[in-house]
Amino acid sequence: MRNIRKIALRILLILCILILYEKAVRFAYEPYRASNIYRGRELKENQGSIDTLFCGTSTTNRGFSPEIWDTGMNANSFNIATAGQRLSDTYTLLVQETKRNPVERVFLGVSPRMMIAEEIYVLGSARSYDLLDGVGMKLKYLFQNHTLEEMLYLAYYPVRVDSYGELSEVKKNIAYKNSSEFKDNINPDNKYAGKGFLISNKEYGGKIYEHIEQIKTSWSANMVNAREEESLYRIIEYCKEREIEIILVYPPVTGKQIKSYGDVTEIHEYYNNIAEKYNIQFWDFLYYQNLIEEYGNDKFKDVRHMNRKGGEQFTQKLTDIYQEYQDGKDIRQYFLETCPYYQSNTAGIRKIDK
Amino acid sequence: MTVNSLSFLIFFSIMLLIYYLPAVRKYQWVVLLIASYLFYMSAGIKSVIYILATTVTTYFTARSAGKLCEEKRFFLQQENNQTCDIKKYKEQNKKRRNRVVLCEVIINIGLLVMVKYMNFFINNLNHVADKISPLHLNNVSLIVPLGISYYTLQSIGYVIDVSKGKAAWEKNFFKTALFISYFPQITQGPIGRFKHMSKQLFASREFSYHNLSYGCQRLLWGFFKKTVIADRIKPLTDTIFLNYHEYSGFTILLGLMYFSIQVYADFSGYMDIIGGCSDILGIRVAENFKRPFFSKSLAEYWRRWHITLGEWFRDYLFYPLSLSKKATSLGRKGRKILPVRIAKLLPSVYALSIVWFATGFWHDASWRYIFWGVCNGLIIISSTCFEDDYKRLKKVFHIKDEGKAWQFFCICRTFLLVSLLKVFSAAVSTVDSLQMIKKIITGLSPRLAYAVCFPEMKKSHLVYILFGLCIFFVISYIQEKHEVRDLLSKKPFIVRWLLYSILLFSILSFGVLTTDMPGGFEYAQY
Repeated sequence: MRNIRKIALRILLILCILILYEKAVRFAYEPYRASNIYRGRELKENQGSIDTLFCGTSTTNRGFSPEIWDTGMNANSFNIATAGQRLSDTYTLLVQETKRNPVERVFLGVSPRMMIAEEIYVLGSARSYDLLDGVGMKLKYLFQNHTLEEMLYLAYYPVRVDSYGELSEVKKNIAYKNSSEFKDNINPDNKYAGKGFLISNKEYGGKIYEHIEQIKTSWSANMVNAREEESLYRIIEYCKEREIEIILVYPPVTGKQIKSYGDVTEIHEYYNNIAEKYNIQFWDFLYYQNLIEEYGNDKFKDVRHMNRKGGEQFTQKLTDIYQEYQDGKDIRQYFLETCPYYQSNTAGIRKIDK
Repeated sequence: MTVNSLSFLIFFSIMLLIYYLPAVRKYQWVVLLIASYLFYMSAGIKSVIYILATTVTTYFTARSAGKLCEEKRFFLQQENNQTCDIKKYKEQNKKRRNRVVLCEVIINIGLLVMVKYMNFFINNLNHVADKISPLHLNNVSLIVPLGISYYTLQSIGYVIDVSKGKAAWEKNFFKTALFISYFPQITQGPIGRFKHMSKQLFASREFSYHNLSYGCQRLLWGFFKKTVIADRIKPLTDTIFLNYHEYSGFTILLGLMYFSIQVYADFSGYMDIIGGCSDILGIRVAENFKRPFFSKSLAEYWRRWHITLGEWFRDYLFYPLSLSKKATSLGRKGRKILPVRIAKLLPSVYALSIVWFATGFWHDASWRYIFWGVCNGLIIISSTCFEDDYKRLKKVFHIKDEGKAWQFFCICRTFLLVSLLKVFSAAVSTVDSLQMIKKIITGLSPRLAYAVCFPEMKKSHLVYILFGLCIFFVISYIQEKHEVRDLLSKKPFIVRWLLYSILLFSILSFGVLTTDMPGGFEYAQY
């Protein structure tokens, strides 16, 4: 009995030390500009009033502006998409937010790249993990979706700092985190526009970066990761059960990115079949009639991600289409039978090659 | 499931809870046996066939050898035996025991050869046959069972010990199975001796907080060495050795030194992890390392590095070979043509040559490891042969063995030598290792630029490695004189916990938490 008490006390001590260490390192080393700090707080502040959620990966994160949506729809939306978010992570976040908010609709930005990703992007999961509220939720998330090594990485990712020696950064972090601006949730970074929307004013120059253009071979439905597919079904079923409207959206990408996918028809067919199976909407902006004209390189920051201009323009278009859809109008007029880049084998492809 | 994974720690914790349940105290060895087989099966169920085959043959050969020993003892106890009868009987009995041992060796080495060396022989045969005839043998695709090189030697050692009367044969088949499959040491040793292990493995014991505390300390130290040092250095050595064409001989030489440290931290880290686990279970496994980088000669290095393997080859190969008739006659013939001093050494030279060839071949079925073993053997043999000249030379230059500077020089020299020999294990193939040697000899051109010394390595990662190495060196230095855990236990609670915290934080902050190596460790591939 004495031994058990002794061991239990030591285990408790180890846990306390580990928690304190994580908190201390996070406080000192997590950049005060990190959008996730402010996004988490905003999410908490808006608790109980969010009616629209934008979910997905980085393309959604940079493509859906809650501010534009809220103005057009008189709503309160939030963008909970994060870079490299797996659909199992999306599901967990969705469950958390629908439980504490009167969510009426969900826009799920699809990411064919993530659907076929073999390796798990742990840092992507870490960003989602940060948005979870409370120890219980975090523990549940860790034990539900991850291997033990991933669990350890996620729980301690803030201590895996690449530059422990950069004390000037630590000084800046501590100074800002102790300031009233930080307490008032003012993000000094111009890369975050609030409510989860990440922005950039860069314009894509047409160069393909190896690490960005990750799909080199043609996308194929039989390459889809079973775990991701299962999570996608779970998300749709969850929303349907709770009578939350869910719309699958494939936001615009650059012509170069489309070219690198090979034939986008299979991607379109894949999501379209799922949408038909569950009787939900799938708005494929790769099939958007004015994709080439309206979403040129000046609307993107890189080959795949929209910049601020592109994101805001796209959200405005989404709002307009959604309003028409709600009014019972036929929105099919906006979308073509095929991707405009492939519609004729002349104009579109030539534009890509440029 | 590798021993450096969290799944192993969870598996071990569950096993530990069952192991110390008062209700199973009598059957603790059964818990260990089940855990060992579960652990082994996690690496692939097919491997179990091989370990079972080894267990069955070992059990029956040890049984036969043991019975022959008992027979002999019984015979010698009888009072009415005549001297000539005794001699004749002894010889007959010895022959029969040797036959039993031979049977064990043939079956188990045969199994090892079949799974590990078959393709090596086929490839070499094809290479030779290509020049003579169009005959071409296809490679066989057999899985190499985890730890087969280790448990094969352990089993053979046990049967030899039984046949020599050094150990009693185990009557319980399942206890023999536990001795061969004991999970902490199955993947990469230490190669245990039955006499040492059996008493501990089959005994029942109560939970001891002291064992838990000491075990956890060692476990933590092992994880530190593995994650903060070994796996952090690995990307650097991989970069150098996989692209050695692009680097100068100097970078390759440095890479070999890094590789020496990496392999040591990796292998000794593993030993600390499994030693810690065993300590918690109240079982002390044999030590495999004794700060080898403090060695002053290659021979000493091999007495401090992979000790149980060295001892195995010494006891079961070197001694029998050097005392064999062939070795004695070699010595006798040598006296006729060579100086007595050299001729005297011939039996050991003969035995050493075979031992080092076998050591190299044991590590891997490839020419580069055979070269590696032969090179080690040549250096050790030549240092034995020229020992007297070496001493004379030291006298001429007034060099004293006790001098600190001389000792430091010897340590550095040994480290450099060991690192240079690592060229055979660092390279991907024999040709690559020879190319690397060529590059070191012809294109050394030392330059102390960061990109030359640490190609493609982030500066922050280098700082982490240096931090880890500093701690590693200090602890190793203290270990040379004291048992660190005993020293630690005398320190105040705060000091102890501060040290634990530093290790724990280092693992979490700087450690590489995943590894893509088969078996999780460098030595698991052998």
